[in-house]
Amino acid sequence: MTEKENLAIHIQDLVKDFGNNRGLFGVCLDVKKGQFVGIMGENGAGKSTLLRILMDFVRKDSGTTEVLSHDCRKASLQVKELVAYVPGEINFPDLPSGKDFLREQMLLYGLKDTEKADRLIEELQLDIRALPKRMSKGMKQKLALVNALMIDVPILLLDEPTTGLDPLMRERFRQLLSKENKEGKTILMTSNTFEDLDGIADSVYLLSQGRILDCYHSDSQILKNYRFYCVGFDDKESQKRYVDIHKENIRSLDENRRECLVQVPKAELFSFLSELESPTIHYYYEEESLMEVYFRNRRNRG
Amino acid sequence: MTTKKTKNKKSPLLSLAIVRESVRSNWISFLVTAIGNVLIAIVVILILSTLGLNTLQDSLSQLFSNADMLSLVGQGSFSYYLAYSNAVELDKGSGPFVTDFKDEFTTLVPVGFQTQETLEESPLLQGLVKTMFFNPYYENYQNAEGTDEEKHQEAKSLAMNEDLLNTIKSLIPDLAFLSNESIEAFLSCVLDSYHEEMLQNPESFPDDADVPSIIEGGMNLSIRSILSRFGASEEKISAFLVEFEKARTIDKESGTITDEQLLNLYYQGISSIAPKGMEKELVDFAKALIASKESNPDAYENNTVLEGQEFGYRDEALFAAIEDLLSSMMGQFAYLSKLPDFTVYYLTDDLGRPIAREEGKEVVLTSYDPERMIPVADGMYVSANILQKQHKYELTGTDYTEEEIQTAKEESQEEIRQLIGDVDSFLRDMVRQENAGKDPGYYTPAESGAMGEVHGEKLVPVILDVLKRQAQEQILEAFDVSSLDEIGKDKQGVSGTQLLEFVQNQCVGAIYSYETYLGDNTTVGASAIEAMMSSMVKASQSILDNLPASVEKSFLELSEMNMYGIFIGIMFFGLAGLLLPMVFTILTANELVAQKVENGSMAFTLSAPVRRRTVLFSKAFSLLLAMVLMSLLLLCGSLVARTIGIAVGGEDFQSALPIGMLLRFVLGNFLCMFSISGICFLSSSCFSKTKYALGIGGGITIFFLVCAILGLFGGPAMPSTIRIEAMDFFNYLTILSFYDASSAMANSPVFYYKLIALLGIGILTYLSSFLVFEKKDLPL
Repeated sequence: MTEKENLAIHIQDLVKDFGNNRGLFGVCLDVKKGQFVGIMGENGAGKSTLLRILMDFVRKDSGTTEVLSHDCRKASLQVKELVAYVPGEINFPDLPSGKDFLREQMLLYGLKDTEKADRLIEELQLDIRALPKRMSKGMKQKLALVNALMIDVPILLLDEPTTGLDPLMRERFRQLLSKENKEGKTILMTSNTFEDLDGIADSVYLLSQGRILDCYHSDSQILKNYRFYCVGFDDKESQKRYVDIHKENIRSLDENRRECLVQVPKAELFSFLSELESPTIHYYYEEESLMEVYFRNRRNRG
Repeated sequence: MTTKKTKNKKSPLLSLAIVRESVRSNWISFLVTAIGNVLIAIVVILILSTLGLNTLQDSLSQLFSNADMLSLVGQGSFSYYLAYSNAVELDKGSGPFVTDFKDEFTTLVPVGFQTQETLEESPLLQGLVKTMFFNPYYENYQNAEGTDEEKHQEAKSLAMNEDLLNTIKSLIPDLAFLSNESIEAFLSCVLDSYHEEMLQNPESFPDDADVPSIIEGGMNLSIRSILSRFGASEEKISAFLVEFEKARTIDKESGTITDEQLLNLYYQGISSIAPKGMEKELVDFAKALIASKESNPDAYENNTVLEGQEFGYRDEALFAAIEDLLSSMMGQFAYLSKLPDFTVYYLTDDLGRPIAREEGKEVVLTSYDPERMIPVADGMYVSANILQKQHKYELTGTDYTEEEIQTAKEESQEEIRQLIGDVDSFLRDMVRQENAGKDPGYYTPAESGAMGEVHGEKLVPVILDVLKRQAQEQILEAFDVSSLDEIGKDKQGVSGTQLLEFVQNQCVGAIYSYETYLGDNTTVGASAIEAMMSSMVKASQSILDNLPASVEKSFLELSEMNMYGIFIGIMFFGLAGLLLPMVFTILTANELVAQKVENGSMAFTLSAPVRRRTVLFSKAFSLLLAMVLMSLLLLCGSLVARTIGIAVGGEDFQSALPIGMLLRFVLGNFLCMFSISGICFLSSSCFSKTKYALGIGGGITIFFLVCAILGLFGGPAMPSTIRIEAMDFFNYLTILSFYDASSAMANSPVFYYKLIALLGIGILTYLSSFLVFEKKDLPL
C-alpha cells in the first residue's frame, strides 16, 4: 500500500477564511489508519472548524480534505458512512428519552442490531430513560458517545468530548477511547488540555490561530526503555559541568532556569539517581508527560 | 494493490426516518390547527345555510332589475304629482274660467263690435260720448298733478263714477247686454286707449278725438288685459289680435258675426292662454265643458246632482274633461320611457338635443351630424333619457321604427289608465271633502279674473298614499310573501317596512326635486311638455345622485351576488380559513430546519450518511403532507356541513353552493397554503436563526394576509355602498389574490390559470430552499 492509501484522514493546505484572522490557513494534517491523533489549541484556534469541514458541515475555501481517499465534500455521503462524529456542543432533538434518540438514530443509519449499543450503555452506566434535553453534561457526552460508537464505523471524530467532565469521567472516557483505538478505530480528537491526550495519543498537533505550529509524535518504545528527569542546578557552572559529562543523555536545557531534561536509559537509572546526590543539584523530578515537556519547551523556544 | 472504496450506494431522495421524526415533532400543532379550521368551516357553512341570504338577493333583484320600482319612484312620482296638481288647477281654476270666460267673451265681442258700429254711424253720439265722458276725463287729467301715469289714474277714477256709467249705458244701449263689471272693465280700457292716443297726438285732443278708433283701441286693450292675466305670451296675444281683427272685418262686411265664428274666435283665445304645446288639449277641454254646459245649462249652472249620481252635473263634466286632457298630455311622453334604450355618445342640451360649440356659442343640431357633435368622455356614456329618446335620429342617425313606437305606446297605456283612474278617485275625493265642508286646501283662489294657486305640498301625502300602495304590491310580489311583516332583517336581511319607507322617501325627494327644477326651468322655446320632461329628467338624475352612494346600483349588484359563494369562497377559504394553517406553517417550517440548525440537533441528522438534499426534501415532504391532509380534512368537513346545510336551507342553498364550487374553493385554499409553506420553508432554510426565519417567513406571510384583507374592500366582493375602489391596490401586493374566488364561483378557466401562479411560487420556493441549504455553511 502506498503511503497515501494508508491514510485514514488526509488534509493538505486547507484554507477556510472567516475574516478577522479567524479560520484555517494552510493546515496540513495526516492520520494513519489505526492512529489516535489529537489536536490541541486555544479557544478559537479552528479545531471545531476542521472537524466540521471533514463532516461537510462547513465548506472549505481551498485545499484537500479526504477521508479514506473520499473527498469530504464531493463524496460526503461515503465519508459519513465511515465516520462517526461527536460535536463540541451537544444538543439533542426534543425527544422524550435517550432511548428514543438512539432508536431514531438507528433508523437513520439503517442499523438494526442493538447489541453494541446495549453494551456501551451498560459500560458507561447511562440512564437512557432520561430526557435528553435535561441530561447533565456528563450524561450528554455519554449518550453522544454511545451514538457514535454503536454504529461501529472505522473513524471517530470527537470535538472536545471531555470538556466540563469531572476527573473520574474523564479517565473513563480516556480508557474507553484508548480501548476502541486498540481495537482498530482511527480516532481524531480535539482538546485543550494535555491530560486527555497524554499516554493515549500517537500524535498531537498544536493548532493556533488557524495554523499548525508543531506536532508531537509519541514513541512508546522510548517510554518503555527510558525515563525522563528534569534536573535543576544551583548555578550555571554546575549545570555546564553536568551537561558536559552527560552530553548524549541531555535532551534539552534551559540556562535561565538552570534546568535540563535528561533521558535516562532504564538500565542506568541507579547510577543516575546516585549522582543526583551531589550538592550542586538543587532539585530533580521525573517528567511524566513528555508531551507537556515537549510543548513547554517549544513554547520556551518560541 | 487495489484501493478499497466504499460501494457507491444510491442515496434515496426521501428518508422515511426523517419524515417520521418531523411528523412526531409537529403532530400536535397540526391536529389543533387542522381540527380548529375544519370546525370553523363547518360552523360557518351551517350558519349560512340557516339564513335566507340569497332570497334577499333574488327578491331585490326582482324588485329592481325590471325597473318597475325605479319607474315608480322616478317617473311615477312625477307623473302623479303632475297629474294631481294639474287636475286641481283645472278643476278649480281653468275649468270655471273656461266656461265663464266663454260667456263673457261671446257677449263682449259682438257688443264691442256693435258699439263701434253705432258710434261710427252717429257723429252725434260720438260728440255726446266726447262731451260726457272723454272731456271730463281730459279736464281732470289736466288738473291733476304728478307723473303722467298718476294723472291718468286720478282722472280715470274721477270719470268712472256711477252716474257716468248709467249715462253711458243709456247713450249706448248695446252695452246693456254686458254686466256692470264688464262695462266698467271695458270703459276703463277705453280710457286707457284714449290716454294712449292723447299722448300720441296731443294736438287733436280733446276736440278731435277719434271716438271709434278709441273704442276699437279700448277693445283691443280689453282683450289684451284678459289674455295676459291668464299668462298668454306677447306673441300669442298679437296672434290673437290678428284673428280678432279678421273677425271685426268679417263683422263689418257681413254686418254680423255668426255664433260659429264667435266660438272659433273664443277657441282661438283659449289657445292663446294655453301653455305651449297644449293648445289643442286645452281647446278640446274647453269644447268638452261647453258641450256639457249647453246640453243642460241649468244643471251645469247649478251643479245639480242628477238621479243616481253622487256628484253634481258640472263636477262630472269637469272630471271627464280633466281626465281626457291629462290622458292626452301623459300620452305625449309616457310611452317614451318604454321605447328601447340606446347609449348616448354625444353631449345634449337640457331638451335632449345634440349640441355643437361653434365660435364660442352653443348651437343646437337638428340632424345627425357626427362631425359637429361633441363626444362624451369615455366611460361617461349613459342610457338615453326620455328627452334624448325624442331625438334619437339626431343622436344616432336612425330613428325609432313605427313598430317600436306603437309597442311603446301600447305598453304605456296600462300605466296611463291606472294613473287616470287614480286621478279620478282623487278628484272625487277632493270634491267630496269640499261638499262636506272640509276644504283639503289644495287650492287658493285669487281675486276674480286671475288664476289661483295650487298647494303642491298638500298633494304630496295624497300621492304618497297611492304610490305606497303600488310599492307595497311590488315588494310583496318580489319577495313572494303576503304581508310586509314576513320580510324581516333576520330572515332576508332587510325589514319590509323599512324597505317601504325607503321607497316612500325616495318618492318624496323625487317630487320636491322635480318641483324645484320645474320652477327653475328657464329652457328657452320649450313647450310645457318639454319643460316638464326636462325637469323630470333632471330630478330623476338628482335622485340617483342623492341616493346614499347609489343605493340603487348596490341593490342591483347585491341582487347579482351569490352571498353564499362570497362568504364561503372569499371570506372563509380565501381569508379566515387560511389563518390557522398559516400559523401551523410558519411555526412548523421554522421548527423543521432553522430551529434544528440553531440548537445544533441538525448535527446528529447530518452526521448520518444522508445527503443534505435528502434531509430537506424529506422535511419539505412532511410539511406538504400536512398541508394536503389539512385540505382533505377541510374538504370532508365542508362536504358534510354542506349536506346538513341543504337539509336545513333547502334548494336555495344547494344551488348556491354546488359541490364543484366547493371543490374549487378547497383547491384554491390548498394552493395558497402550498405557496405560503414554500415561502416559510425557504426562509427557514436560508437562516440559521429562528428569529430570522420566523420574522421573515412569518412576516411575509402575514403581510400577504393583511393585504388580502385590505384588498377585499376594493374588490368586487364588497357591495358598492361599502367599497373603496382605491383599496383594490392591495390586491396587487399579495400572492393570495391569485386565488380568485369570483372566478371559482363562475367556474371560469381564469380561476385555474391564476392558480398556476401559486403552484409556480410554491415549486420555486421549495426548489430554492433545497439549493440554498445545499450551499450553506452550517455552524454544527
